[in-house]
Amino acid sequence: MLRIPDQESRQRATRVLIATNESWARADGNLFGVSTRQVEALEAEAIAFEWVSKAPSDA
Amino acid sequence: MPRPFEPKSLDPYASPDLRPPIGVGAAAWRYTVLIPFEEVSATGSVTALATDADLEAVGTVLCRHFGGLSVLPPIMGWGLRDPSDPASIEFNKHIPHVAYARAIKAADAYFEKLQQELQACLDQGVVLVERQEVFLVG
Repeated sequence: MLRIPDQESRQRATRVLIATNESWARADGNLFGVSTRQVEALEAEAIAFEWVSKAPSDA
Repeated sequence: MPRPFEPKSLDPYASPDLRPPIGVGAAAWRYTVLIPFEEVSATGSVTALATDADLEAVGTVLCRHFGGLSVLPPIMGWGLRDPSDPASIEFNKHIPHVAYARAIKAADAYFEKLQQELQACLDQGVVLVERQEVFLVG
């Protein structure tokens, strides 16, 4: 789970996440539930985010 | 003529009562909104429809009014723009947005307004919105 506070970054993230062809979840507080592959895609595009929690396998 | 999605148009239809009954064992409605993303004509020309800003705004307003949503992988399909004209075939890509709501009439009114707003802002004749009845196990 991660947070993307900046609106412009969320817009860019939307495009990146669509390109992964995987589902993702959103929740109040600009929270995104994404896969490890999607995190890597966001990082590759230098989209700023904050970790809220990591999957147990990543901890 | 397309224009930006206007999330404030949904505020009059929103209410805390719309949020789904999670964790109590109750019926709910699951809405899937197929947001038009791209059209590819028979000649190969691509028309972009919903923008990144539109999609982000839809996601944000659904989170605000329902607590969250799921965005599914794009759905692709062929269709005829004019059913009587085989040359009007086009390839469409949609982004499904899924949200749970309490099973009340006001939820239908909310998603009908969302449908109307998307049709207006994207200049589309029909934006598909599905509703399924589900039981959320408590």
